[in-house]
Amino acid sequence: MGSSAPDVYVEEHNVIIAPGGTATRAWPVYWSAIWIGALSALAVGLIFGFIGTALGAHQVGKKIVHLHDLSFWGLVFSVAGAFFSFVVGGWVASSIAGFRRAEDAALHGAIAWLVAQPMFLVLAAFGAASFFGTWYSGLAGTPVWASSSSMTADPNAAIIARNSAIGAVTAMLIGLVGSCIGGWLASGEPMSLTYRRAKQERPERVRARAA
Amino acid sequence: MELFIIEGGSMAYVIMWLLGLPLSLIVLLWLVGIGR
Repeated sequence: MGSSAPDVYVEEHNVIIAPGGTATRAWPVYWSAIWIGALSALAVGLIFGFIGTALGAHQVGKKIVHLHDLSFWGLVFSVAGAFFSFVVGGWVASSIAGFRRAEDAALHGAIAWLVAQPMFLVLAAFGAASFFGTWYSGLAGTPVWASSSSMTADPNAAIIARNSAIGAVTAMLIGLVGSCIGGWLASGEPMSLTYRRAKQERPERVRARAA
Repeated sequence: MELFIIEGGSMAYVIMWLLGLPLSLIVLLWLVGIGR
C-alpha cells in the first residue's frame, strides 16, 4: 500500500449464506408490503392527476379524437404521473418487505402494480378514472347499465375508443416500468445493467479456475 | 451455499433512471405525435 492510501479503509459487505436445494428457490411474497405499495401508487397517481387537472394540463371529459388533442403538458403529467406513482409504489412495497436483492425487490414492485390494476378498473367503472389524468380515463368503458345509444350516435366513437385504449395501455406499461425501477431502487443495489453480483461466481467454476 | 455481496448503490444511477426514463418517454411520445 502506498503512502497516499487512506489510514482507514472501510468496506461493507452483507453476506447472506443460504443453503442450496429446491426449497430456497421459492420467492417469498410479502402481501402487506404489496398492498401498501399499491395504495401508495394510487395515492400518488391521484395527487399527480389532481395537480394536472388543477393546472389545466388534463382536460376532464374531453374525447380524444386525434392523439394530438392531448396537450403537451397533459402528456408530461400523464407520463410523470404514471411513472412516479408506481416508482413510489414499488419503492414502498420493497422497502417494507426489506429486500436487499434487486430481483426480489423489482418482483414486489411489479406485484404492487398488478394489485393496483383491478383497483384502477373498479375506480374507472365508478367514474373516477379521469381523476388520475386523461390517459387513465381510457380504462373506463361504457358501463353495462348505461345506455349505448349515445355511443352509436357518435361517429368518432371507434377512433375515441382506440385512442383511449392507446392512452390507457401506455399509462399501464409506464407504470409497470416505474414499479420495477422503484423496487430496484429500494433494494439499494447499483442500478446498472452491467452490474454483476458475486452469486454468479459458481464455486465449482472458481475451483476449476484455481486448479 | 451461495454468497451474495451487495454494495451500495450510486446516486448517479438513481438520477439517471428517475429522470432519464420519463424524460426520454415524453420526448419519444411527443415525437410520434402525441400532445402536439
